[in-house]
Amino acid sequence: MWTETTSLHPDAWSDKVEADLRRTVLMHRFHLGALPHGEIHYRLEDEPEGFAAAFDAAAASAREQLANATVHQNVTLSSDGTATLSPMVVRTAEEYAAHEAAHAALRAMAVDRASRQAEWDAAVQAHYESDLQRLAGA
Amino acid sequence: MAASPAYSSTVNIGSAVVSATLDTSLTAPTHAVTVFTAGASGSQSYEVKYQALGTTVAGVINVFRVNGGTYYLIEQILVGAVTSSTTAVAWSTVRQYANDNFKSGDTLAFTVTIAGLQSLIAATVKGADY
Repeated sequence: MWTETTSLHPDAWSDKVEADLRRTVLMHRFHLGALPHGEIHYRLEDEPEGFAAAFDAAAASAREQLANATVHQNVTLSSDGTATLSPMVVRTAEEYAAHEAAHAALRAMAVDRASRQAEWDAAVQAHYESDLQRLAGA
Repeated sequence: MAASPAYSSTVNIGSAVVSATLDTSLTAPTHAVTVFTAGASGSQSYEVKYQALGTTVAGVINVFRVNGGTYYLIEQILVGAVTSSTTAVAWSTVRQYANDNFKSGDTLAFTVTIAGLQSLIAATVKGADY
């Protein structure tokens, strides 16, 4: 069983990406292709039985789904011949700025609330002391 | 002449992800994203790292110094087509500088040119303010 996930914009999917992923799975999941001195050595006949059909089906499914996608996707190819896509969250500079602004507003609100609490506490204390003085004078 | 040499003293680091909109202009981009803003007495940038957030296609990053609203192209960086995945690292490059100074008010901004790279390159500038 294997799965391999890549993240990309739909426009970036290509035959090269498929070939790269195929080689990556074979090298890292099945440990094929690495010679002792590090040179990459890869032969089609080294592929485990059934791998090619499963990979091709998964890649075809990914290609089909990506054709309808408009935003970045996490694409997971699986040994059962399926591809699963999920939107990749990319925070753009504009979104980051909006996020920071929202946090700054919340922080300002918290500071304002704290200062108003102090104001309220002072008013309660003054009222209490005023009551005490009035009672003492009665 | 100053009595003593000036050294940058306060760390200034900026990070940003490139725009979701491509921009091929080399003189007046409208979708450049600011990565670094110089301090009140100017700043120095020692290093900029560009890191892909996923699989890349071959393309170019345009890097601009922005002064008073005018964009000056200072560097172009070639992005390689790299298929990153669960077990393969994404494209990245590090540029180091000995004399990359910025005047107060200057910014560093960048764009990408090719479909597939939008919102997919993060830049981090490591520098310091004078």
